[in-house]
Amino acid sequence: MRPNKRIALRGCLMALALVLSYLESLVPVFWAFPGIRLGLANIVTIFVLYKMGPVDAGFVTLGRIILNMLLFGNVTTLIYSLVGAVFSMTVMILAKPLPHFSAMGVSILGGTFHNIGQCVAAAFLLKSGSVMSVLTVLLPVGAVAGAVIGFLAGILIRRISLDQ
Amino acid sequence: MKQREETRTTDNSGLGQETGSRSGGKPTRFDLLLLLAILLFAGIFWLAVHFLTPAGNTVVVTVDGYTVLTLSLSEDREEVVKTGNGFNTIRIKDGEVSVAEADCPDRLCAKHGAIRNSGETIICLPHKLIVEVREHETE
Repeated sequence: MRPNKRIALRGCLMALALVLSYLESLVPVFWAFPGIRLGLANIVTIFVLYKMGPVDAGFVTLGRIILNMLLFGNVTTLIYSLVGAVFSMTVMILAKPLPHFSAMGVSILGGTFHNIGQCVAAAFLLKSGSVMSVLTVLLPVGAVAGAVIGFLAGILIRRISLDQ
Repeated sequence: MKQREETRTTDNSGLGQETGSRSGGKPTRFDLLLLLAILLFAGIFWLAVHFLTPAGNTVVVTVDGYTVLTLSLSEDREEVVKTGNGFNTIRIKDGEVSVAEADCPDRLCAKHGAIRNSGETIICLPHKLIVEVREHETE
């Protein structure tokens, strides 16, 4: 892939991810346990991870998080997003080369570890380990959300080609 | 069904040329096994928390790591906890504790349901406040 095309694609996909985060924030929380999100923007992350590579996926995710913070968030949400993203990106980049797993499996791990990362961040910020009990809810929720996102990303990975 | 199998293989080979990776977009049975394994693990974790730990009798409220309030679960009452960032009203009713009101931006703590089992928590991230149920602790 030519460098200029790569830069343009990173920008476009970062913007797409940002729009997806924003759209998701408009949907009211309707679950019994508050604060749960599907993570629509991760469709873009996984798509980029598969179609362009780990470095591009890191760029797009980091850019999205920083822009999201500047537009809608604050420093605290930035810390949670960053720690969650670092956990999930690391695990997804490591899991991608594994045989037998598709984008869905990688995404399941990503969603699960995103929530583990956020709990770890909360434990540090709130100076209390009792936060970890929330993982009983957040682990399965992260896995299911990751499965849905990975399934959707898988469809795009199969249908869309970036080589033209 | 056979046709689908064929399109799958062509899809995958196309993908292989593009990215040089053999893993692709089509979900495999290992993905589902992974999902089930995590759900099973979480289920056992949940059962352990909810059934092996008895209903607690003490509510401990911490702000920024410091315990600011210790209450008994058996006594119905309301307490307003003022933090550096705002307030949270802790309500104990019928052996359950909840956050009745709060002026934090997301108000997730107030939307959280009531808790009663030892180890359960309600967390208000903006105020760094944690409401935790514990057992066998007296003031």
